[in-house]
Amino acid sequence: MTKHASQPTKIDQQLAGAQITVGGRTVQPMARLMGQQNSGGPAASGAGAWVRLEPIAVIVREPDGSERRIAVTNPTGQILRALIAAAAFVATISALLIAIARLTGRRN
Amino acid sequence: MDEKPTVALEPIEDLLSRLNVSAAFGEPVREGDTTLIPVASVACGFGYGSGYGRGPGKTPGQAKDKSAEGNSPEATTPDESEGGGAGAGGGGWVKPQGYIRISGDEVRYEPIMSMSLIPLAGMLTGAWCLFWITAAVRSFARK
Repeated sequence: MTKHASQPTKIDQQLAGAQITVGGRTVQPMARLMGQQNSGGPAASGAGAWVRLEPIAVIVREPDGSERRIAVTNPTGQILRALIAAAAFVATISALLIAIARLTGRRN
Repeated sequence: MDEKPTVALEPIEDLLSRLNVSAAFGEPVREGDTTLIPVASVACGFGYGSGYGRGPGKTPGQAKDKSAEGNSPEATTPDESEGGGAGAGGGGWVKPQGYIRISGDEVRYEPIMSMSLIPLAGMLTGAWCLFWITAAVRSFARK
């Protein structure tokens, strides 16, 4: 049996959707496709992939020809990420302080 | 059967070709002079694989040696036990994120905030921080 190394392939594409026309105004959605694709393996054959499609913006074209971009944000995700970052920061600093307190306590 | 089964990549390529912007932006819904376009984030993953193997068997040299010793033909037959298996699994989710509101001369994105998840995560983070800060203060107070 020949040995095959796994071959991960990163997926990162920006996609533009079909234009939607409402009252002379055109809206074009934009999204980002991220993920990874794997195939092969040392002992058996297999393949797998995970992908995530995130909306990023809509491009609005007005009837007068002007164009603007409206960002599509995810405030819930941003808040949760900020909370996780804060929790990790507090835990790291506290663990460092505890370690310092123990070290200085031993010396004294 | 010495050849390794080949991996079919078509399902992955098919999935990627089907995932387009319309998976994240829904069909426009018109209500009076307002049009709403639902927005969601989509994630999915899957994997499949197969394997095949057989027993260690005996090398031709070993088989000849055993024949010379006068063993029965059954004893000299290479071990032919073999087996294979295959499996697949996958999952995914779609999270509503907000909607695009087109009304009159205005186009706006209105996000949806999770009013249950954020307070819960806030309380958990508060308790976590309180635990660590208390532990740090106590370690200095012991000195």
